[in-house]
Parts: sequence; C-alpha cells; structure tokens
Amino acid sequence: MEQCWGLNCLEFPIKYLFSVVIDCVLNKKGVKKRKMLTQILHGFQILFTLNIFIYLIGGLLMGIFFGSVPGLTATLAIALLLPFTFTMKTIPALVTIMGIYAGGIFGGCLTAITINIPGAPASTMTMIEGYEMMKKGKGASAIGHAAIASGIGGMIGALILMFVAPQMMKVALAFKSPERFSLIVVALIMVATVTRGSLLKGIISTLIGLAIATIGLDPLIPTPRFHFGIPYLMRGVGLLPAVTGLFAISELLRQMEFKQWDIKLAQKIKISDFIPSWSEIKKIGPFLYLKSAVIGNFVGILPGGGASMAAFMAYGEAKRSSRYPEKFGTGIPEGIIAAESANNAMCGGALVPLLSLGIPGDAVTAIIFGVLLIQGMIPGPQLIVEHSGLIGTMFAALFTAQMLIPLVTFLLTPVYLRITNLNRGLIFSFIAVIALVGTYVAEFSAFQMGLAVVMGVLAYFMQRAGYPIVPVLMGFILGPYLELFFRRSLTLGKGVAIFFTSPISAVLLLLAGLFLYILGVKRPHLEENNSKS
Amino acid sequence: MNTEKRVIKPNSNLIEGLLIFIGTTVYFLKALELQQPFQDGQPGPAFYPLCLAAALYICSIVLIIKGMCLKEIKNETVKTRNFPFKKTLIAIILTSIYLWVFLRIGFWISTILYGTMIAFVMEYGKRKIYMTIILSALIGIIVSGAVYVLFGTMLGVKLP
Repeated sequence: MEQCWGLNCLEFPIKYLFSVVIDCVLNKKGVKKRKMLTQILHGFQILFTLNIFIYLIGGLLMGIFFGSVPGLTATLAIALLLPFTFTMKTIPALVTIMGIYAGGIFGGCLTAITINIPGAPASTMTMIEGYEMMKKGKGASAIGHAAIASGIGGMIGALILMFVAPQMMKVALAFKSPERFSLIVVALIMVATVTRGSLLKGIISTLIGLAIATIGLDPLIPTPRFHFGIPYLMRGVGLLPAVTGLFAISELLRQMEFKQWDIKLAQKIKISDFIPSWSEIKKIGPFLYLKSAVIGNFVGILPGGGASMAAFMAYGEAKRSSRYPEKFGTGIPEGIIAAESANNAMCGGALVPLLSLGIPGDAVTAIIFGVLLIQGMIPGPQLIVEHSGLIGTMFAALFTAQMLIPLVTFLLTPVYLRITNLNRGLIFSFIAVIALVGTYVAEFSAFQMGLAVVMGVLAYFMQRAGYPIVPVLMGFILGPYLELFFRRSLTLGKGVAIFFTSPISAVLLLLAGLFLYILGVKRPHLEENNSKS
Repeated sequence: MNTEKRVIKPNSNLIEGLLIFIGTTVYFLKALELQQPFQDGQPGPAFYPLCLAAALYICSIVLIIKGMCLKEIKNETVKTRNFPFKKTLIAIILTSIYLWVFLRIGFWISTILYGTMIAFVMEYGKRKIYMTIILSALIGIIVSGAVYVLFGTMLGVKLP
C-alpha cells in the first residue's frame, strides 16, 4: 500500500535533522544505555517520511472527528480500524492508532464547548467551563485553550511514557506466572470497580467477558470447549467480532433511540479567535499545565483509570489549589486547561502498563493490545527489547500527534463543527456496514459477522440494564492470560499458597482487595452521603 | 409513539439475576462435559470454567436476593415511553437479514439495501416520507460505494 502512494522519494527535511541527532547520540559513549533514545529518534525519522506521516495526519483527523461526534468515540474509531490492520503494515497501523487515540480524546471537547454535549465522556469536565465561556461569547477562546492544553499535556504524557516504559520493563521481568496472575486480577478489579454503575454489575460484566474468552481451544491442552457443536466456535470468538460487536454494533442499536443532535454556531469564527492572548496564558502560568499532565499521566498508568477520571481529578485539584475556586463552574480557562491537559496526558500513561507489563488499562489500550497481537507482537516485558524500533516509532507518533492538535484545531475546527452535524443516518449506516464488512474480510467468514451481531445485541441489552461494557472487553482480552497464569501457577506451586508466598503477588492481591473495598464498598457510601447532604 | 402510559416496572435485579443464573447453569453443565477438573493433580480444561461458573452463581444469587429484598419496587408504578426500543429491534432484524443475504446475493445489492434501510429507520419521522426514502436510498448508495472503495479498491479485498 505504501508503494501505491508513490511518495517514497518525498521526505521531510526534519528526517535529516533526526539523522544528525542520532549520529551525535551514537558517536558518544554509553550507546547501550541510550538504545531506547536512539530508537525513539529513529522513530521520529521514520515518522517524518511522507508516506508514514500521512497515516498520522489521517488518524488524527479521524480521531478528532470521532471524538467530536456525540456517540462516537476513539474506542469506536480504533475498533473500526481493526479490520484494516490485518492488511496494513505494522508501522502505518501503529502510527494511525496513535493519531486516532490523541485526536479522539481531544475531539470530545469541541461539542462539549459549543453545544454542551461532550463528544466523548472524557470531556465532561471541559464542558462545565467551556459551555459557560461559549455563552459569554468566548467559545473560540475556550476551544483554543483546550487545544493548547491538550497538546502540552499530551506531549508531557508522551515524554513520561518514553522514559518510564523502558524502566517499567525492567521491573516487569521480575514477574513470573503467580505475579502476572495477580497483576491481571488487580487490573480486572480496578476496571470493574471504577466503571460507572454498581460494583456487582461491573464484576458480572468482567466474569461474562472471562467466560466468553473460554470458548474455543484450551490454552494449555488442545481441547475445544463450549463450542455447542458448532465447528466455527472451536477456534473461539475472534477479537474483531468481539470489538466491533461490543462498540460499533451496540452503539448503532443505542443510537436508534436518540434524535438528531443540532450544532449551530452563533457567529463566524476566524482562526485568530482560537488563539488565547499571551497575557491570559502568562496569568495562568505553566505550572497548571504541568501539574494536570502529571496527574493525568499517573491516572492513566493505573488500570481502569481512563481519561474521564484523569480530567475529573485534575479539575478537582485545579479548583482546590486555585486562588479563586468560587469562579470554577462560571466559565474560566483554568478548568478547561486542567481537564484537557490531564485527559490527553493520560494517553501516554495508559500505554505504560500495556507495553511494559502486557496489561491494558482501558478499552482503547485493550484494542491496541489486539492490534499488536495481529501484527505478531506480544505486549509484555520483551516487547521493547524485541521490537524497539517499532515501539520507538509508536512513541514518536504519539508525541507528534499531540503536538499537532493545536495546529489542526486552529485550522480545521470550523470545518469539523459542520461535519459533526452530518446526517446521522449516513454516519451510522456507514459505521454498521464498515463494521460488518470489516469483520467479514478479516477471515472471509460470515459466521464472524454473525458473532459480531450477537456480541453487539448482548452489549446493547447489557448497557440498557446498567452493565458496563469495558469490563467485558477487558475480561475477554485478559481471560486467556488469566487462565494460563492461574493454572501454570497452581501446577508449579502445588496449590494456591504460591500466590501468597511470592511477595509481589501477595502485595498485588492485597492491593486488589484494598481497591475492591475502597472503590467498590466505601466509595458508594461516601457518594450516597454526599448526595444526601 | 412517545405516548406516556402507566405500566408496572418489573424488578430488574430479580429478572437479571435469574437470567444470569440460567446462563451460568448452561455454562456449568457444558464445563462438566469436559475432562475432569484435575488430572494427575494438575488443573485441567474444566477447572477454570468451573471457577468462573462458581463466581457467576454467587453474583446471580446476590442479584436475586437484592431483587427479592427490594419488594417496594414490585408495586411501584412509573411513567415510561411506549416500547422505546422499537427502532432498535428493527435494526437487529435488518442486520440479521443482511448477514443472511450478504453471501447469497452479493455485496452490492445487499449493502445498498441494508444501508438504505438503516438510514430510513434513523431518519423516519423527521421529514416527508418520500424525501426520507430518496435520502435513504442516496445514503445506501454512498455508503456502499465508500465501503467498496475502502476494501475492494484500496485494500484489494475481493467482496462477494
């Protein structure tokens, strides 16, 4: 596909800049210690080749579009991209996904600010301040602040990822089967407890995901399980039908209940309206950007953290530490900056456990996990060692995508706001067809299409009944690994004692219990008391 | 369609608990058909599914008990929309028909019809009926063309 672009000869001068930097790095001593840095610089060099860079721009634009349309999310965008990754080369696939990820998290703020409907859940905190600013006639400025904060926060998050992931990888090497089992338990419990709704329903969703993952061949002994006499089921439920069903088909069914949204801008916007004044930025100061980005990144590292929680925590901290907390909620840029800086910084954080430990922390990283598997890479401690070149490009792509957010926003927001008002029949017909045909072409199997529909209908009714969907996906993706490490540990340790005799495993299980108590049992009581008062 | 009427809201916890209990029983029975949970002192293919079934049973029983304890919900009357997911049900039926005809009549006809019908269901009631039909047909053709370009032309995939 790269060949057919016919653009291989056109390369950015930036590529040569990076080659000079790499030469400088390699010519000094301690090359081994700087291996990752060199790979990241190589990554930038590859990224700034036009036929790769175009994927980043495409992904970023697609991500912003999906993020800005209410009902569409970055998760859905990556889910729809999944069938294409079967035929795409690894680097374009990873670069596109990084673009979608960054754009999708940011895009939600556009409709949150302009029409008071967050395009993505992560933009709910932005909406509080942004829409108030919109009502005061400062909508463009609010979008400008959001774009700059997203760019800065995202870049800080990506930088932290570049430095933390290789270090985490060294820690991850100490994790054997019992520790890995306990780590997956922590991740699943956190996702089940953190997602909205009751704890019990979160746990049931996780268990349903784990149960679906047991369909097909046993991971240790080649015995088919739960195939109900259907030969196609002996191979199990594929990742593609699961992801497209859970996110695309269920969303189509959910959207059937809603009416058309209407986006109308009060006035014509010029590019200069988006750029906040220097005095305003100076007054806010760099510390708020940095602090919010660090909070967002940390939340991202925690399994189940997610962009919404990152934005919520950073917004809360900005309000707490502000000189004028009473102004929060009345339309001030500080609230937007805190929320947007944090939710984009979360992207880098969420990739840390995925790449170093092989544990995805949310729906997007769970799908990225699947993409890596499709591309023949196994997420975990060996990933950075074995595929450092590819991972370096991935880091570079995330950093560059975040950097491009303000530029794309200033140039294209008026166009985006018109596109988001596209006919819903067109958008969802397209999503339905691309999801189903995409599932078909992955294995040329109509049965897989059927599985996607079954998963979609199941997800739709589960959502209607208040059961979160993200734990189902997490359970489905991590299920085979959970079983593998569980049974392997039991075999090695001659019983469950091994989970408690290993100090790391014992601490992780203790943490799991603690999370369950604090987030699942204690928090609902606190929320109930707060709502009463 | 949105006429409000008074209906008795069923106790959702109880129904959900029972549904999960039944589903778990099917899963449990299928797990028992596998080899012994332990073979030579090592956990076999049935072991882990049986653990999951046990956890699901516990959760379903908790849901059922919660449902039975909240007796006041049983007698509560609430205002609700008359069958709010009628369009959703139509979409499920349309999608099932699309799956059935996709390989039989080929990509183009099935996808144009499916795209048109989905758009029609979504757009129904927003404008005059003939306008909705024309718009939906256009959407069906555009969507089919776009998907063909993506898969058939750009990725070189042979569609039925």
